[in-house]
Parts: sequence; structure tokens; C-alpha cells
Amino acid sequence: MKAIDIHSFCKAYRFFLIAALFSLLAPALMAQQGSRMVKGKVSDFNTGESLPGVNVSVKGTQSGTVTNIDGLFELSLSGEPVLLFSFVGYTSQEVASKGLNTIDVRLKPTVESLDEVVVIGYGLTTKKEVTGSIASVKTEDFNKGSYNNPMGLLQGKVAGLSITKPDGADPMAGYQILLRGTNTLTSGQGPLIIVDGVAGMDLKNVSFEEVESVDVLKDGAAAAIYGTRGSNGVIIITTKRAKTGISKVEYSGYLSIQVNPRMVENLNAEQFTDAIMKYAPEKAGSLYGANTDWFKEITRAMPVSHRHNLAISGGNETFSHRTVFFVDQSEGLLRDNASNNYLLKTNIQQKTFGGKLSLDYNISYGIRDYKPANYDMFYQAFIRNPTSPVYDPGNSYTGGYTLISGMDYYNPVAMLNERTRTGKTDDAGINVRANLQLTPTVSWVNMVSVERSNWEELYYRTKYYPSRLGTGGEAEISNGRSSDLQYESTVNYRYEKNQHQVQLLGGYTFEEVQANNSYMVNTGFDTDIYGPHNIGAGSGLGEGTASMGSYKEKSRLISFFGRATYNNSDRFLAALSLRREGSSRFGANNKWGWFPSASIGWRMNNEAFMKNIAWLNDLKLRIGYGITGNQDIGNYKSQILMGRAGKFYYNGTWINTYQPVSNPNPDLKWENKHEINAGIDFAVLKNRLSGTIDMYYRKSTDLLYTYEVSVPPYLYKELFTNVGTISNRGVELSLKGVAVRTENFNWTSILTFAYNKNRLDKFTNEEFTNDSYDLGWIGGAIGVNSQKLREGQSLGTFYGPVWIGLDELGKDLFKNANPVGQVNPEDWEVIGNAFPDFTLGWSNMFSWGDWDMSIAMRASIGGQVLNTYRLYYENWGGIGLNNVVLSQYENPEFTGNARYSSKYVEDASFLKVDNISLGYNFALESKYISRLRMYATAQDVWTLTGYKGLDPEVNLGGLTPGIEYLSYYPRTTLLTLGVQVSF
Amino acid sequence: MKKISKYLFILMVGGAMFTLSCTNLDEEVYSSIPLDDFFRTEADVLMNAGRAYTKLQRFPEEQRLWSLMQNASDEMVIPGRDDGLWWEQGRWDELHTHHFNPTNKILRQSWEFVFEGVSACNEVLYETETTPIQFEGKERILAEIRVLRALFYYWGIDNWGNIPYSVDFTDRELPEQKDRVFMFSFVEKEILDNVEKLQTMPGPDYYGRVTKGMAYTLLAKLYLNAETWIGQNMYQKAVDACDQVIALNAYSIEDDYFANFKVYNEASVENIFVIPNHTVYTKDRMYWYTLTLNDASRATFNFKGEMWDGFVLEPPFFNKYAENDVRRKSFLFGQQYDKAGNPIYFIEQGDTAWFAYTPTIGNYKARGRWEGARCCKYEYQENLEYYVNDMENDFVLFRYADLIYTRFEALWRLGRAGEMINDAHLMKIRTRAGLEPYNVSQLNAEELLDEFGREFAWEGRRRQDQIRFGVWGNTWWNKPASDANARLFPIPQTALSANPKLKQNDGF
Repeated sequence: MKAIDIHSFCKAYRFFLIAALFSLLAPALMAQQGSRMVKGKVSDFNTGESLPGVNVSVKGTQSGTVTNIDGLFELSLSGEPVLLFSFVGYTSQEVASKGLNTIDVRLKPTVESLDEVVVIGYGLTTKKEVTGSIASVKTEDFNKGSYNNPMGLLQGKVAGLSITKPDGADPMAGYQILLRGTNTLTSGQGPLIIVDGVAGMDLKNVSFEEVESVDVLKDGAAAAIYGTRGSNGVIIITTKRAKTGISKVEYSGYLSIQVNPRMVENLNAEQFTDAIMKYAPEKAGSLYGANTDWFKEITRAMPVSHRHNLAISGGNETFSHRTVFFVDQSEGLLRDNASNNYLLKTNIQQKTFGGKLSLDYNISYGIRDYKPANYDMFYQAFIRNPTSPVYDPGNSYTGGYTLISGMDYYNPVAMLNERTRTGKTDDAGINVRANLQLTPTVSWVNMVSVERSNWEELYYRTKYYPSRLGTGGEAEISNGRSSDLQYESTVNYRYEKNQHQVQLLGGYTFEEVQANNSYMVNTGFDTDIYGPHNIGAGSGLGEGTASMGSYKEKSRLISFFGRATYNNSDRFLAALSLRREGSSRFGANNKWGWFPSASIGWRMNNEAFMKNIAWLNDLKLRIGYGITGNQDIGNYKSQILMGRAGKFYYNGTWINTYQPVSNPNPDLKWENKHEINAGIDFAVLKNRLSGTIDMYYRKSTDLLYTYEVSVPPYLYKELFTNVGTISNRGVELSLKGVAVRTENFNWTSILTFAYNKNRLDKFTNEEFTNDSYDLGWIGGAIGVNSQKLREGQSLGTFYGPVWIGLDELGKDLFKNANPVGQVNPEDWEVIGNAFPDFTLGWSNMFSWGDWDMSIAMRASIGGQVLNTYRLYYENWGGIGLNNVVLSQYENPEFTGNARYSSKYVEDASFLKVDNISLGYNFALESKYISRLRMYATAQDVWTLTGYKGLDPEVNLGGLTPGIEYLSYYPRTTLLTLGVQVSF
Repeated sequence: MKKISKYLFILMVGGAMFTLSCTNLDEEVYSSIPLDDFFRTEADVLMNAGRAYTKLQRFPEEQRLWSLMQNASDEMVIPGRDDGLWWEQGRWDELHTHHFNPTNKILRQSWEFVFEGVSACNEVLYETETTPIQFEGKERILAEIRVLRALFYYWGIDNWGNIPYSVDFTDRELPEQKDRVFMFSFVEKEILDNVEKLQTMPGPDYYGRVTKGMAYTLLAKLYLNAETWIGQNMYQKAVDACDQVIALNAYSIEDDYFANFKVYNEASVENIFVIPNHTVYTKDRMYWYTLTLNDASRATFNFKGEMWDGFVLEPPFFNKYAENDVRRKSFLFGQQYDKAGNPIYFIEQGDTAWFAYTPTIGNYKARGRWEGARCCKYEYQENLEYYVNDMENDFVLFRYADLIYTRFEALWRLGRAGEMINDAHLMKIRTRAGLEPYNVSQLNAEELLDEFGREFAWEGRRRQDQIRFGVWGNTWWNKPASDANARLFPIPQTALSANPKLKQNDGF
């Protein structure tokens, strides 16, 4: 148990032990209150048919049950709580249990339910009661298709939430998630992800098939309860839970292939030869006569992946489980690239002490075996001379591969064949949540979660690996472990009198994250046979060129929080929350921070003067304000730490030296984000059309950035400190409507729109006066900074010479050129911005008898991308050693050299058809099979854009968004054939 | 009663939470040492003090002070290559043509080299002075670090003239800018105040460290430049400082010029102050082989890695050497041979291409692969590979020949060159090069400057000599006449914005 530091954890454990003791004693203490059984039947309002699987829960708690096959339920109650009946596709209904022993309920089918459950921080509420900006996406609205990560389900579904995959078809690639613009300069930009109440879980261990709903807390009022992690928004994922009653086996599986690979287009051997003859005859020596398609040489013709997800569930009222097993094997386009995932996960629900104590256990174990891609190979395949053969059998120096000398110029086939790289991760997670109903109105929830993960990577490059020619092979083994302990305790209290409903929540959380890793590298192997498996055999160990290292870190986050919500007869709503949170990462003078929020809502449709408007089903005005923080800055930034600083020759031997590793900053503190959000929720025409409009203004202050400081007095030229202010303002709109509803044809449409404007308000203070930093370095032969961080501007602003055309000799002409035809840096202008003016998402779901179909599209309007392939390779300068982009061959009039200008900063507006899916539900009269659906999906189908590069949708995160770099992974279209069966 | 119990429970739960919960947020550090835990023993103090020396190790890098000074002089040039490499947006050309730009990266990194060195010395002095740990030799260590700081400031005076002055680590104010006169007397006083506390005789235990010989050599060089820097004739003081070193009787001129630059040059009795290198421990510090050589030279030296092929000898400089001047062998030119002595050639498209370096270069902006003589002054060991190991030769900052020539020049400027003309050491510098010793009538500014160039080529001395001899603004190979202001480099833009108290040098 050395891995867990007993001393530091003691308090949390002690607390939990006492909490557990309470849990055991409390029911006994409360026994005099007694409990009673209620039973009843749930049926359809219109048809009277009994409804199995309806959730019957005690409002404000997590206890409850599910109706059986005949729609019957039985539930033991203590006190006189309100029961909540909810079922997908039906309007939820609340029933006061007071004085009732039998409760029969008829549920109304709905399109858009206002009583839908919405997950908020540390609790649940209903859609009509929400006062913050929260988008709740349910199963039926998810994108169809296959995903390696559940975030794919949401693409285009939530206004203001940008979900992109900058690494294309790499099976290892994750999604980049950005909410409401960039609100930080150096801290993390990823939202806080919470899976079934556990923060920071790795999404690769969440099967997308198992996701039941996703709730996105967008504004400060909603996210402030998550304090220092709330600034980038909070995404709460709820997976399918164990349910009482029906024993069920569900299988879903698919087979996918990737077709239509899209790479950066270059010249084939014939075009290349022609181009040299015509435009660069002096380079004729670079024609080697072969015809090599380098891209084809390193890629698979048709990568295949398949996935199987099996879920078994069932149990009785006091004990039930849902166990999921999935296998996912995905091949990448690059020949040696693959990712295989396996997961076993079980959820157990147990009720005891007459239903007073409910326990929710989650145990999961996930494995990933992978072979990562080296993106540089695609770049090498692009630039490499297509007339050069792949192999040179007589060349024993290279191991039989052709060698052409050039800086960073390597045979990609040799790179692929002469290395092996494999990795694996093991993730285990256990959490237990105990919900104790102390009194009918007070419940106490305790949760402990432990997650552990291990990873290992083995890497070997043979003596023929191109950048290592002439040396022995090189082996590297690296591995690491991390653990995350979380403890959470909350008390809920509910009070109802007349038209007043009050809910109070108080809580404490403790989280400790530890990570350690190590690596070893050795070189000079006599043989490649060992690979990385006999790392001591290399000669580097003796020669002093082997290296090894290890590192360990730990951080802690502790908070106290409270929330009060108030509902006056479903007309007036209010919520207040406050969190006091501390992180070990900050300076001794600034460990703790306050994160308050307040929001109110007014449901106008319930006012007397609107009650009579028949077509209006809901109209709510909301306004909220909240402060959140960002603590994603890495550990140990505030302290003076002494680290190794090279060796020094002292009295005849080399001794190590030590120096402070960075300029310390004991005043390091939170970045604070203040946000005000105003919104309208509405539903009209019998709920056939519903929507939300939100307007927000968010401002992050005390931004952390690495400022350049004077040396001396500082030791180093960089200081990590709080100075700047960034703001984002925007409008979001989402609409959901049933366009057509007939007996056997339905068409539902979801439309989202988001506009965001970013501005770096302030970047200087008395000490730091430099209001402009150069960023966006484009290296190699170009060597310029393409962007500036400048006060008053948006992030991602491109600066450069303005290109106005070609002269008669085919050379670039620039605005404000100096006598030698170039533009002095002080005359550079703003030539673009990476962020779009607005984004749109449009999904359509059709059902027609047993058929269903969906189409999802996204568009991004405005926004520029720097196309670095064109910048470097749309000219004849480098042809010979290098290939060029096809557009140069098609429009060969440009004769100048590569020079950075607005010519290469292109409009990146696009319309993408992300997803087309067609499914068929077999109407089976089988005793065993309750559902059978088959479907076919095409993903990444089509892009309409004027952008000339690979993909206009590039990385928009970080400080230098909007640059399509030379190292890339190609895009493909994914075709999937799948089946879903329930037994 | 029911109600009371309810509130009691809420109270108990709430109370339990707030009294039992853990609120300790102290960071636990594992892979570094918090400062408070660091200084425990004498070894810790030495390990911290040593870091001031490690700052020196960066001097001969591709983009640091040595490279800045060399590339601005007429000894070294980095022409654009005909394959487009090494032009690098003209950042080397800016240095070559003296169109110095405050945003130039080599300039900025050179400044950082100097002032991170100063700041490290300040920190080391503070920690060493304030620690209660006492040990024998602590005073000497403090004196070494002060003279080392004087060396960094000497480079600051030489290259930028008007520089920030900071000597107290606890003073967190932005430092004031001081002119050359102030800084000159500070450096002079620092050396004189500390020189007697330093180790007198060199030896293996003080190799690569600041000793008395080093301190007086630095002082002599300071005085030699006094007329240029602060308009005061201090040549007699320069001679006196040199005499202090000579009087130690610790150094002499090696028989073999190249003995000073061997892979294991620690045996040299000529080297006064070196930066010790180790093939692995000081990796990324000295890698001239890859900076200068073409890949084809791998066969000559049995290197493993790829050569970068950028730094070459400026063509007219080659002609300063007589054919029989041994020191011309500091450079590679003509047909090249492999390790076994066979001429190297390549068959290219049916033709034989003989691998020969030409001392001439056709096109400054499109140099052919084998144009330009290459440096091989420092002996190259086998199996060098940039990604794995670098040169082990200790980099020579000061050597006895430098001191002898400094004394000689000072006397010549005093009109007393004859006093030294028959000095055995002086004559030996010429004779070991295969040349006749000087007689007084041969001496003139041009000859002395050329001789210093030949003797100290690529050692980092040339810029200072060219300025002192008043030829810095002249035209030379692909370099137009330059302004008098170019005798100082501009202060880098980043330093100006970080410290508003700094004023840019004239002309930039």
C-alpha cells in the first residue's frame, strides 16, 4: 500500500468510515418512522396498454424501481414523498404519495417533454425547472454510427459546443472539445467530464452504446458548482444503469471499412517528370525513372474495424445489475497503425434497510492495445520524389532501401518497416455510491471512487531506420501509472409548503491524483532480433549514451459547496450556489478561492395572463451569473524547486549541478471566469416545436501566461504569472421540431446555431508592458510567426504581407512592398482569423414504418486556415528533391519562392455531411427476440468548401488555432454495417 | 420530537463534514528538491555553485555568442546553399552584412547566454554567502564565481556596451542600464578584489576553473581594449597584467599548435582557461563537426550521423595563410580522403565526382555542396553522431599564445615592440607555425591583425581584433561598408520589452 500515502489520505478515509457507520446506524435510529409499501400500475394514457420498464422514483433521491412486464410496480416508502414516473417518449408525471397505497398512473406520450430529467451538478432536476444554460441530449437524438469515443454522438447537437477530430482517421484520435470559445491562454481547454458522478474519467473506457444521456453545463451559473474546473464547461455523461425486473440481453455490433482516403495531393511520377522537364530542367538529375505512389506504399487499401457490445441486465427490486462487455478492433489507414479496446463493466444497484439505503456499485476494467501512428510518414510520403524506387537492393548501408540525402528527408517505407512501436493501457475503476434517506426530506449521499491506470510503450528502431543509419538499433521502454481517488459527500434537504418548494444541498469533495512514470533508452544493438525485449544488450549503457528517467507527481483538490433552489408554483425559479475550493497547485498565498453563482427563471406561460394562449406550451426566461475557475496548469508551478542542471568538471571529476528549475511565483492563483447568461426556453404547437436561445458574455481574468521577464533580476527569461483578461460573447440557438408526424411517417429536425466573438482584452500591466507576442511559428525554410497575441484582438489572428497577385514574371506582388519586393514586418496586416463567425448543425431523423433514417450536417462560416502545404510546396523551388502540391502543376504560372503571405491564409468555411444512416426494425413475433434492428451508416461523407487543403476543420484549440500543419493524418469515409438485438 | 431529531441529523451530518474533512493542500514534491531541503552539506553548496560554470558551456553552440561574434567577423560565413538550406530568412546574412536586427534569434540567444550567466552567478553568490555551511575553500569558490561573473560582464561590455547592472540576487527591482565606463571599472575592480583569493597554480584539480592565470588574462584583455571601449590608454596596465601571468611560470607555448585542440587537450600547457567538454555530459554544446562539414566527410572521420554543412571559412580569409603555414591545416580544402587514405569520389549519373572542398565560393546565396574550406582545427573523434554524442575537446577560451600576443600588441601600441621581439615564447608561436619570427620592421597594424587571425581563427577573438584595429566598418566578401554604430550589437527586442529601463544602442 505504499502507493497510497496513508498519512495524506487518512482524513478522507476516516471520514468515510464514519460516514459508513452513520449509514449503518441511521436506519436503525430512524426505524420509529416506519416504512410502507405502495403499489400500482402504469399504462399508456391513450391506449391503456400497460407500460413495462417505467422508472418510478422518489423525487429528489436516487431510490426507486421500474415497472415489470405487466406495468406493475411495488415500492417501499418512508414518509410521504412525491413519486416521479418517467419513461422515454412519455411525459413524466409527479404524484404525491401522501395517503395513498395504490397509485395507478396513465402517462401521456410526448414529443418534447418538459419534465425530462436534466442532470445538474450533484443532482437531478427537470427541464422546466432549470435556470442555468444546460443542454441535455438523450439517446434518440444522438448521432448514429460508430465512434471510438462517446463525444462523437454529440457532434453538431449542442449549440456552442464544438467537437472536432483534428487527427482525422487515426483510430487513436480523440475529439477536441471547445465550449464557447477560448477562455484561457495556457491552461487546459477541455471541459470537465463527469461519467456517472465520477470526475475526469477517460472517455475511451465509456462505450458509446451505453450512453443514455449527456448534459452539457454551459454557463457560469450552471458550472459554478464545479468551481475551479468549471470554466471550460462541464459534460455529464449518464450511462445505462441496472434496472429492476426484466432480465435482458442486448447485443450491438458492427463492421466498418474506411474508403476514399483523402491525403494532400501531390504529383504522380508522370506529372513530376513532366513538371521537371517543363519548369525545372536543371533538376533533370532528380529523375530516377521509377513510378512510386508513396502514399499507397504506406497505407492499407481498406482498413477494417469491428466492434461488439454485449449488455446483460436484470435483477429484483433489492438487487440488480447491468454488465457490459465490449470489444473494439480498429485498423488505421497507416499500415502498422491499430487500436484494440476491451472493456468489462458492471453496475450493481442494491437496496437495503427497507429501501432507506441504496447502493450503486460500478466496477470497470478496460484494456487498450495499440500501435500508434507516426504522422511524419504521411509528410515524408508527400514530399518524396515519386520517380525514386522504394528499394535499392544492393545498398547494404540502408538495408536495401533507396537513400536520397536531404535534411529531414527519409524513405517512409523504411520508416514504417524498420520500427515497431506498441503500447497498452490498463484502466481499472471502482466506485460506490451510498444514498441514505435519513428522513423523508433529508438524504445523505457518500461516494468513493478509485481509478487506476497503467500504461506501457515499447519502441524499437532498427539499425536501418532512416534517421539512425550507421548506428545500431535503438530501444525504448516507457511506462507509467496513475491513480485518482475521489470522495464526495452531499446532504440534500427538500422542503415544500403551499406553493413553495425549496431544495438545499451541501457537500464536500476531496480528490487526489498521483502519477508516476519512467523510461529507458539504449542504443547500439548487435542484432535487431531482440527488438525492445533485451534492452540491456545495447552498447549505449557502457558508452554513456543510454538514458533513463523517472518522475512522480501528486496534486489535491478539496472543496465545500452548497446550493439552494427555489420553485414558486412552477412560475418563479431561483438557484444560488457557492463553492469554496482549494488546489495544491497554486501559490501559498492563493490556495483557496470562492466560486458563487445565482440564477433565476420565470415561466411566463404559467402566469395568468398567458394561460389562455393555446399554442404556447412553455415560455421561460432565464438569467444567471457565475464565477468559475481553471486549475489545469500542471503541478509545482509556484515553488522554488532545485533540479539537475548539467555536469560540471570539479577537481578532476564530473559532478552534477543543481539550479532552481524555474522562476518561482508564490502568488500564482486561479484564472477566474465571470459569466452572465440570459436565455429563453420555449415550446409551442403542442410541443412540436421547442427551442432555446442563449446570450452570454464571459470574461476570464487573471489569465496565466508565460511572460518574458528581465534576466537579471529573474533567473530565467520566463515567468508564469496572472495578468491578462479574455472575453467571449455570443448567441446560441437550438431548435427541435417535428416537421411531419403522421401515422407511419415522422420527421424530426434539430437545428443549432452558435455565434461567438473572442477578444483578448488585456495582456499587460505595470510590470509587463509588452502588448504583442509573436506566435504560430512556421518553421523550416519559411521561418515566420504567422499570428500575434495582441491586446484588443481576437486570439488566432493571422498577420502577414497582403498578397495582391503575380507580376508578369510570375512572382508574388505584395501590398506595401519595400524596394526588394518584400514587406517589412512592421507593415504586416491582419490577414485572417482562425475562428468562424458562426457555426450551424442540422440533424434530421426520419422514421417510416419499420424504417428509420438520419442525416447530420454541420457548417462553419467564416474563419481562415493557414494552408502550410501550399505555403511550402506550391512553387517550383524545391521540386527535384521534393514533390509539390498538385495545384502548382495545374496552375504553374507562379515562379517565385515560398514566401508567407495572405495567399495561403484561406477561407475555411465549410458544409459537411457528417453522417447518413439507414436502419430497419424487424417486426418479430419471437418469444426470445424483443428487438432486431439492422443499419448502415456512412460517416464523413462529403465536404463542401473552397478551402484547398486537406480539411478546413483544423485544430481550433490552444493559442495558435487555424493552422493545418505538415504532419497530419489523412481523412477517410467510414462505412458501417451494424446490428442491434435485444433478447 | 420528530422535528428535533431531523434537525439534529442535519446538524450532525454537517458537523461531521466540516470537522473531519481534510483541508491540507501542501504540495508533495518527489522528482525535484524544494529549496528549503536543498542546502544541507558542503557538496550541496558546490553543486549549486557549479551551475554557474555550466552556463559557460553553451558558449560554442551554433546559435550563441561564439557564433554571433564569428559570423559578424570576416573569418566565418554561412552562405545560403543551392538547395535553399541555411539561408534561414537571412538571419545569418544580417550578421554577415552588419545589418543587425534586434529580433535576430542568434543575437537574442547570445544576450540570454550572457545575462543568464550573470543571474546564475548572482544566485550562487547569494546562496553560498548566506548558507551557514562553512568549509575550507568557500572564500575561493566565491572569488571564482565573482570573476566568472566579471567574464560574463566583459562579454556584455564588448558586444553591447550599455548593459543592465545587477549584482544582488535579493534586489528584485529591474536593473539599471550602465555604460561602458561604469561597467569597465566594475569588472576591473571585481578582478582585482578577488584575484588573490584564487588558485595560483593550474593543475588537474582546477582544470576548467577560474584561476589566477585566467583572471589576469581577462584583466589584460580588458585593458587592451580600454582605448576602444572607454577611450583610455591602458596598454601599460595590460602589459603588467600579462606579466602577472608570465610570472606564475605555469604556462608555455606548446610545440605543436594542434596539441591545444586535441580531443584530449587537457594535457596542453598552453591553455589557460577552457570549457571542459564530455562527449555525453556536455552534449549539444560543441558540435562544430556537423556545423561545418559536408556529409561526404563522414568517410574521412568515420562519423555516424548526418552533417549539417553550414559554417564555412570566408574565402578571402583563406588567402591570409602562407602555403607553408602549419595553421592553414586548421581548415579542410582540396581533395578529401577516407580514413584509409583513399581519395573519396562518387559516381553520379555516370560521371565521377571527386570530393574536394574549394576555398572559393561562387555564389554567396547559392553555395555548392563542396564550396568553402571547412574547419578541422579541433581534432575530430570517430563515431560522432549529433543525436548521440558530441565533441569531447575542451573549448579553449584563453591560451598562453593569446596572452603573449596581447602583451606584444600592447607594447607595440606603446611603441616598445622591440622590448619583446626576441621573447622565446613570441618567437615560438611563429616558428611552430613554420614561419620566421618577426623583426620590428615587419610590424604594422595590418600584419598584426592578419597574424592574430591566423593564430586564433574561429576561436572567438576576431571581432574584437577587427574593431580594435579599426577595420570593422570596412567592406569585405559580400559585406558592404558598415556604420560605426555596428561596433555594438543592438540590445535584443525581448530584453528591451522586459526591462523598460533599457535604452537601445544608437543606430538601431
